[in-house]
Amino acid sequence: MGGHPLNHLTDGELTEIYYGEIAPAVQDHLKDCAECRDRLRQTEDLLCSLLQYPVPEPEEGYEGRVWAELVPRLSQNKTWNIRFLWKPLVFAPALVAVVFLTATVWLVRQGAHHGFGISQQDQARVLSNTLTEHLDRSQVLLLELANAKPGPNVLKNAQEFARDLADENRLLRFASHGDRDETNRVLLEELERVLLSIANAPANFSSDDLAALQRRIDDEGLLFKVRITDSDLRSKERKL
Amino acid sequence: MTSRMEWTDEAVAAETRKGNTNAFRVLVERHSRAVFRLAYRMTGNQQDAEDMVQETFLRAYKQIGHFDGRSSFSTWLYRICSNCSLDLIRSRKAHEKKRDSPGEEKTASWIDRLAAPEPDPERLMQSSQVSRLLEPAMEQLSEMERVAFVLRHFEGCGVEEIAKTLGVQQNAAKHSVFRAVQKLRRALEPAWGVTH
Repeated sequence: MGGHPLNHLTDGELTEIYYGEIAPAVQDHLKDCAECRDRLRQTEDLLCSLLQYPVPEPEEGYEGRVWAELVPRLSQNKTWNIRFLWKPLVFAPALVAVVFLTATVWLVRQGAHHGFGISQQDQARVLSNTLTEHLDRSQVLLLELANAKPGPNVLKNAQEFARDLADENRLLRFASHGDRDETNRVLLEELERVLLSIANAPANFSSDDLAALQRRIDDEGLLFKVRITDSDLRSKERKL
Repeated sequence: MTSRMEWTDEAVAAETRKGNTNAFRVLVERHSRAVFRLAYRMTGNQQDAEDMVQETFLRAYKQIGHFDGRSSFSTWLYRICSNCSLDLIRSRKAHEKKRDSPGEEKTASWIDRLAAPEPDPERLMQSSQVSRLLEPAMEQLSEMERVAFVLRHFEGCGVEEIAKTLGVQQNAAKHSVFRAVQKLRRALEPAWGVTH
């Protein structure tokens, strides 16, 4: 293509020329074809115009600031970077707390219980703390799966973890009913669907099934939503 | 003895995998500006870009065990940053659809803050026209086209690196750039035709 005066250059070829990839035949054609030279000039003008819009240059020492803000979050990650072997030791007391908490919240909302003398603000704080811990654990699972490579037993440890998280998620979703802000409840519903998919995956889970699961996590932006909600909740907790 | 700053990215990543968090600092300091630039091009907003920088490095830290050195560390990081930014863009779109409030003030984007190098009236008018059309034009790009175009046009990445970042064949990466340019040309021609 591009060697004959009658065969004008395609948009693709013009783009390649702009980015510095010029085949000899294309060069020859440009010498002979005023129309293509004109189109190339327009392409260059257009693409060059986009470069006029600068990115704001971060301040001096930006790298240090990024690191300083990142470090506390890396430490949090280490706390929750549990491997599944340690899960039972971490999980059992958390689940008990969630059951107790959600029962208390439900009873108080029903007007049937005084909440053991715990103020509404404290209840909100406890619920928020429990929710952020749940979201942290869910992130660990989702990240592991999002980056898992196909192979036998890829879900072996994940399924039990997902089952426990789904149970916890259900209780938290229940406890979130009646909140004016439905954001958490909506996220927990989305999360629960994915957790249940993982927990109930068949024994013959194939690499295609894994790819589909990873696409689903990716397409729904679930990891990101969990992260943002976790971050928002922590900000609110600091204010409580 | 090799000083820390002479370590390759791969060597530093290996050290991080052993549990040396301070080694990760080397990677953060080396790549944070490049990640910021990419995130800014993708999101069009400085605050979002800063959030994406944090999110990118946090994900990279959590997933450092999965960096196997087949691509360069920067390519791997670009991939994470692209995914983070796309998650944010999707999330914002979903939020805007639900909100649907015409009077709501949109977050200012870099397009609105352009600074023409020369305050030539004709260029300002043309730039203003292009800037008005550019953001909607970028939104017409598919996610792959957007990432491919930003990496090619603004970051100067080669087709091979773009392909690795996107996880596609080189031809697909190349065609994504072409399609992006075609779409942008169609969208911006009304402004460009003012003075041409």
